[in-house]
Amino acid sequence: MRAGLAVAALLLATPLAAEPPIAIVGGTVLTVGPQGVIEKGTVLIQGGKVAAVGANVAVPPGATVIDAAGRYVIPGIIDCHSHTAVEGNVNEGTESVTAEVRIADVIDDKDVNIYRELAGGVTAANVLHGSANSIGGQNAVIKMRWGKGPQELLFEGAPRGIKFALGENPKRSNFRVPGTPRYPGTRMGVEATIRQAFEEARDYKREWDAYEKKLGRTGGDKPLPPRKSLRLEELKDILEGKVYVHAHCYRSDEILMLIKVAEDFGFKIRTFQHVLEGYKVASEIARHGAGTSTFSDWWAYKLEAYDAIPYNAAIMAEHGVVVSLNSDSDELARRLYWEAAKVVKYGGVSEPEALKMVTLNPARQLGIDKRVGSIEVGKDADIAVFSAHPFSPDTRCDLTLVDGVVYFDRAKDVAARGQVGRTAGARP
Amino acid sequence: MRRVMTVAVLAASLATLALGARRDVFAIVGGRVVTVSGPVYDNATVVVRDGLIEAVGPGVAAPPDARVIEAKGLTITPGLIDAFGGVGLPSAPARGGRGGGGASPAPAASPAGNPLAPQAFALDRVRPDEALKARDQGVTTALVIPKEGVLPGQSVILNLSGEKTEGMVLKQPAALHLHMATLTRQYPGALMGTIAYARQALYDARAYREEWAAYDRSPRGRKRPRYDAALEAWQDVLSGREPLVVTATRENDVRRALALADEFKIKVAVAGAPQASRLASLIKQRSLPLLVSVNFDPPRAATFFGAEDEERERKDIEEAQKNPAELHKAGVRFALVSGYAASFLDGIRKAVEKGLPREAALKAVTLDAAEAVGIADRTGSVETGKIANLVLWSGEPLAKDAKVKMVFVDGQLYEPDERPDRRGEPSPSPSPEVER
Amino acid sequence: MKRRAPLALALFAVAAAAADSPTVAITGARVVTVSGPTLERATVVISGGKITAVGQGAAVPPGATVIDGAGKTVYPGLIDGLTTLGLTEIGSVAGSVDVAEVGDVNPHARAWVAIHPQSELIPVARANGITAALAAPGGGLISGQSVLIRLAGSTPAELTIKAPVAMHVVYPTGRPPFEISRLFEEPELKTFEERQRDKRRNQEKDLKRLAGLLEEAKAYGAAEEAARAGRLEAPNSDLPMESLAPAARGQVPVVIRADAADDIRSAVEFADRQRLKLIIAGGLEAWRVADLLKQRDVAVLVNVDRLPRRESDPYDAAYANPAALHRAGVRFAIVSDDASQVRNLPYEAAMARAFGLPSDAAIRAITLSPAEIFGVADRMGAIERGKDANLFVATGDIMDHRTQVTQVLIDGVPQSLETRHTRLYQEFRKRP
Repeated sequence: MRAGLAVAALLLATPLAAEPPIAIVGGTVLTVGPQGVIEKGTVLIQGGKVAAVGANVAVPPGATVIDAAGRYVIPGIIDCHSHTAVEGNVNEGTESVTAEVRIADVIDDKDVNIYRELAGGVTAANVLHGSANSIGGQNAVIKMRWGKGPQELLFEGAPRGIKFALGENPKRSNFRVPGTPRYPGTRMGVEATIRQAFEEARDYKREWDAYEKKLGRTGGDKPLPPRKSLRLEELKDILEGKVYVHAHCYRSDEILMLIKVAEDFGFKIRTFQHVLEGYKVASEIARHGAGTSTFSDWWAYKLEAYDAIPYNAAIMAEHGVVVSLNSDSDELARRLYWEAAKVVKYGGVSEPEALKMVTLNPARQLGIDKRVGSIEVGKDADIAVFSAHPFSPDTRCDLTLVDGVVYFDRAKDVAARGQVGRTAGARP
Repeated sequence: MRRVMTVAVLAASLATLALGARRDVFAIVGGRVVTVSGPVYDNATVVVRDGLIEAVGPGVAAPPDARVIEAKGLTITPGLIDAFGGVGLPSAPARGGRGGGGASPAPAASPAGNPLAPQAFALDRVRPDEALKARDQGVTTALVIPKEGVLPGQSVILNLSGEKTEGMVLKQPAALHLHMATLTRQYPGALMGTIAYARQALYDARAYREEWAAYDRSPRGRKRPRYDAALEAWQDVLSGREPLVVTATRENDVRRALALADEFKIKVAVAGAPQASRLASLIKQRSLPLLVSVNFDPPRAATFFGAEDEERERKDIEEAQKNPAELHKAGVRFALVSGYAASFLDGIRKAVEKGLPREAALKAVTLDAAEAVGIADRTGSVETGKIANLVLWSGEPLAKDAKVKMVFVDGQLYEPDERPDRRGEPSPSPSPEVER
Repeated sequence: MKRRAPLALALFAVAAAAADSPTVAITGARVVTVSGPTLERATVVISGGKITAVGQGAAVPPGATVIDGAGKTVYPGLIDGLTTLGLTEIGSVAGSVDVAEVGDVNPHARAWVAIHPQSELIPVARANGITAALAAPGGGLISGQSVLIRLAGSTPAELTIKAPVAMHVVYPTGRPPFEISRLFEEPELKTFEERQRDKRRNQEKDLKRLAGLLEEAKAYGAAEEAARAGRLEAPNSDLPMESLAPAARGQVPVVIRADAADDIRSAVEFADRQRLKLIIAGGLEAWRVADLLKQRDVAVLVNVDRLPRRESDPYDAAYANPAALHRAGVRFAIVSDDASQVRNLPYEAAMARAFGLPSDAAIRAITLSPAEIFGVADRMGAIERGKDANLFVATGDIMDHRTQVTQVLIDGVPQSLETRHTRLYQEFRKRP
């Protein structure tokens, strides 16, 4: 009996699944947080979280030490507009309002681009429905935990979000589809589609509120609930402020249109995505309280992108808008650190502010900034180690950690090449 | 009185003797018998009477009224069960036969029906003469469901004997099917749409049941609900009486099927599943019935965006071919099914070539297949009392050089035509090898 | 002056304003000459549209406009070796796109007649130091002929440096080209084996066709030549054959677009058999066949910011591609293969550099190497006495995304750095 108790006590004393702490030592730490830049700093990671960060942090015995001397340690990059890791068509484009479909249902954990993006310092992504629909489907914020299953990639606790799209894509003006054209075909129709959807959502909400009220009353026959519509339920949740709206848009007039529609129905747009003419209406966006997530310098691929300028981010930031830079591309996602450098050139954004645009700002926009976006005590250990300053022309990502686990190690990746049977990013 | 009866009986027997052996009684003698459920007999007799297996064993004597089938040098196995495929269904043209956009290579009307019709019965589309051709490969029993569409309807299990489909029905309906597929110009056009569609359908079916139940309980003062054939069709799945068979093309489709089972507390099975071996422990843990397809390189739409990665596609096909062997190694029980493969036997042979032990393959197309689709109590092995579905093979059953010499379905004899250009026809007359 | 046969010889247009360009001296700058060592605190003197002096001791002529280059770097004007600059304005607006002609066989499509000199994309590219670009048609089997343009001028003739530069061909992949409308048609369902067979069959068919066209063009060219020499009656006019003949006879290079290793290999063999002067464009898997390319002396126009072709490829396969070619001694230029993205050319080179391409090779890949590949290295691609004064001044390493370009000169004429973007910036930053 006593022996058993002793053993139990021992088990209780030792933390279950105790992983050794990790210490990233000697690098220039760009915390993106209140501690700013720490020369020859140490980041101590324990249990997947940042336990300490500073110039004089003691490294506990038994810790795995990562030598970052001469290198730069930054928060993991967050791509606020991604279609990576989606199985099948990223658009449910057969109808113009499809709020019921969920990206989380079709996460493709085997997409090798997850690994390739880790190799570019990306640790989290906002995986969105495509832009074929005025109101698209529900997004999934994921962490690049390469090797884990689809459910485990989901960023637990990330606020719900949905995709809207305005302009040329949802009105399908750039290609002909055989058969009857899908409504809408103009920007007027896009607005009407969205208004109509929310009016129906209002009706649905009224029905369900009435039902809830009836339930509360005692006595009498139990009422039958109204028909549950997955689509209208999501729209109702948007009305009730439970879902972040990420709206793909280009032209200044459609940005203003959506602000008006949202305010008429009593909800806010969380982010305008692409928003290439955001610079023309930056104060209106700031007043509404939306963030913006844009490209650094893509332009001229569509008519609505013809007025796009690389100073977009700088002007919007000057007006107090929270700006992030995104990729909307598996290929570009791997070099977001250099896309951030471009806004230093175009519009004179300061380097710390530019780095924020691919770290803390997207974290804030996605409502996950309590957990990620900067290297601060208590936050997740989502960290990238670069061989030089991330904006330097010679830099390369050497290591990427998510939740304190090394998911990309360039040295190991290179060493594994040429080995028979090994493939790139071979799943652990 | 009794004396008259005895004489009458004697007279009848003599008359029978004079006419010859009874047509529905067979004694298959001298062959090797692989029962699947029990031992393998090097030399045993199988007695078939009135469509059932009457007796099996080394010591069994041929009844006096039986036609004797000399099976020396042959091996007898249970008839093959193709527990998921298109036996008897007309094949669609190469382009999904719903018309639109560009010339279709094949002429003629599309055989594909409404792609979203859980209430449709595969039974209504079966062509009996087409179905019977499967016997040439030793298939005696088949679960049939169209491969097109997302909700193709409810499958039927056929026992391939007789001339009319109704006479073939073994289980109707067998299951309700959901293909993890998409449609081209109507919802759902993306996989996430397919999942949302299925979820919405199940919510609607629940609401439908509650509406009708409330109405039936007390109709006074209530507006009568509307009848909906599709929502009716879902009821047996909702109540757990019928499984939902989800056709999986990739690993995560298996997870999606289980997610549906969890959300709606329904029974699911998974068909196709070329990557199921990656989820062996999950499948075992959830006791998920698995219908593993041998259609390793199915016709697919070419990828549109970016270059095709041929290396990747080849790897996928190889993985699919090794999938049955890997599942077996991991101790997972499964049915091996055609999955609309052009040749079921060739597919089975490929699985064996890639590491599935032949014995395990045989079990996967007989007893385990029966188990997976809920007919193991009546077929799938050579056991007394079960339906007389048998195959007589020359050579090792399922081997490349093995030939299907004779097939019994519901105790009726069928001999595949040896000549390659002639299809075998049901032979009502006694076989020339009959001794009596 | 003898009248030249219209399509047979290259045209060398001279910038109209060169003769009137002022004398300019850039002093005290770091000068990346490319053809020689990099000079510190040196002076570059420009006069009459040419570089007249380069060196630490170079004297500033009296009356010269002096640009203080202290703390700055001077580079040769960048040359983008593969673009659709001037041929496309807005990708989705068909009226503004003149890249791919109808039909598969368009050797007579000549890019230099369709360049839009007032394209907004030209100043945008120029403002980041690109002073010349290859504008090439695309699509089909034989796309047409390319032109090397300078990024200054009011008419296509003023923009033209050299035409034709090459005949452009797309190596048949055996697969139908992507069209977005196909997403809305019932897909054709085929097994992998069937699709492989189709691909091989289609490739064979197209290659046969290409070979046949080249043979025909060779014969046509020979007949034309004989006719001019009076030995034969002139053949009936055939514009496509007339246009294809120089390339078919090895007088004008043929750029073949190919990415897959198998396709590149086949293209090299094909060009060998047909005796073509081959340049490979795309070359995504060129690193897999680098030795063959070196052996046959085939140059590659390579775009760097691309995903690897195969799932099993190293993640940086495309980034490290130029370094691999460099190690194998293969000639190559780094290109944007775009129009609106031409300004990012130095950053493609930066990525190649970050993944193993030595620094001097990286700058060469966007200056002297393309000049050599297109046969204009005697005139541009380096800062050397006697060369055209195409150069720019930057606040630092041009491959650093933060660097600003402060001056651009083309044929010695200082260029405006104002663009559609700077105008919109000025207009809207003022809006409260």
